[in-house]
Amino acid sequence: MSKSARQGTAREKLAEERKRQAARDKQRKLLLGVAGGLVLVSAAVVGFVVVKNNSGDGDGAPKAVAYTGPLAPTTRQEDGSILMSKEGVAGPTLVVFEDFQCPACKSLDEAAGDALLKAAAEGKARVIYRPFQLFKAPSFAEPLPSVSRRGANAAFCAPADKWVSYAKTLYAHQPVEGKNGFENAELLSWARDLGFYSADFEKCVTGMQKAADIDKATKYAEEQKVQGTPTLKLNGKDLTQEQVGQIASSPAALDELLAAAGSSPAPSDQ
Amino acid sequence: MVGNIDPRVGTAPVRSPGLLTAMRLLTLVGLAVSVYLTVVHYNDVPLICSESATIDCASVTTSEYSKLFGIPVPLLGLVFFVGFGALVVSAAWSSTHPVLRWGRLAAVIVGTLFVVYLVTAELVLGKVCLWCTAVHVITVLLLGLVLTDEYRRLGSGT
Repeated sequence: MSKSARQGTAREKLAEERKRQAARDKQRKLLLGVAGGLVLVSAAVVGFVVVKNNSGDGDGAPKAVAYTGPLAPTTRQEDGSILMSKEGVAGPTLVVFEDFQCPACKSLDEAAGDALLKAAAEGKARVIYRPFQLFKAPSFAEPLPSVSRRGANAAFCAPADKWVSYAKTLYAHQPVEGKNGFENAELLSWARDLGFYSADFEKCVTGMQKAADIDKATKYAEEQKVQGTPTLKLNGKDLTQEQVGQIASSPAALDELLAAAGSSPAPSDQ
Repeated sequence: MVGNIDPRVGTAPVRSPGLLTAMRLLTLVGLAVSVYLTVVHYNDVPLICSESATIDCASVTTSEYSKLFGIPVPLLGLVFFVGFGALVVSAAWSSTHPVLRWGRLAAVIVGTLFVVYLVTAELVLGKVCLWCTAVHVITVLLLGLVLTDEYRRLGSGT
């Protein structure tokens, strides 16, 4: 091989080596660029979510929500449940099993809560609210069961005529599932907002004085084969998920259901 | 020396059918899950809190993080998989147009950042949504595949 040919081959080799080097550089830049960019922006994203979450918690003292719509005479029954019934109305009876920590109950209350109250006020139905503790240990990890229990206890402690506003307030400030909430300070402050705070109410809340009622209500719900919330029973018969969905999407559906149930045989659940 | 480079194209053709098949399969699965989650999101029937639901109870899919700028997250996922699917059809894949290559890379990077956002939200909520996790895994796998492909293309001098 001549000298020039050898030089030519060497040049080619060199050029190829440079080309390979350039490709390797590009590869390195790709990996470093993507990894570096991902790490930086990810850190910003994580920071954003954490800050947003914390600012949600530090909202100051959230206020109670007062209900001012139509309302049937409201009484607390012996077992602690709440009965709303216009005088002389014998049926149909609509029972609402709920847990104030349950997001689906909150959704239903927002969608159809007022329609139920109105139906009771207009004498189209007797409506009974049966809060209980769906989220129980050990099936659910803390703080879920405690939050559920504190919410139910405070609702049991509230006077019957303030029930609706207090229940709506609990839903309005429902803690994110799995997060702490319904703290005693809040539960008491909402009572002040609604104008029914008393030393007895405070003792009832902080001392969990209605624990026995919650347990009874929970046992009753279990006996009634309530496996989830919200469960609605019309004249003792479970409404299907579809029916509950219809009620949630239109008040007319509720009226139709109630009219169809009419004064059917006396319900077993009073 | 340079005989293995196609003189008409000027570069060694990139051949990675396995990679492409994997991307397409993952895109289809991701698309299916996104469609399912979007349908659930728009379904009127309220989900129920169940005594035995220890994992989900819809708390993730109904949380404040289930929407971004008012758009439901599953819908964003759906758009992502449709878009990425368009970038891996045969015509787009065999094209050497840099916009398509950058598009693929940009799509999976944005997708992965979304996964970071959503997983952080799940951690903040203390809840895990299994369907969502499937989509997250798929998105990260797609990032790996696109990066591998791009790495190979650069290595072959394209």
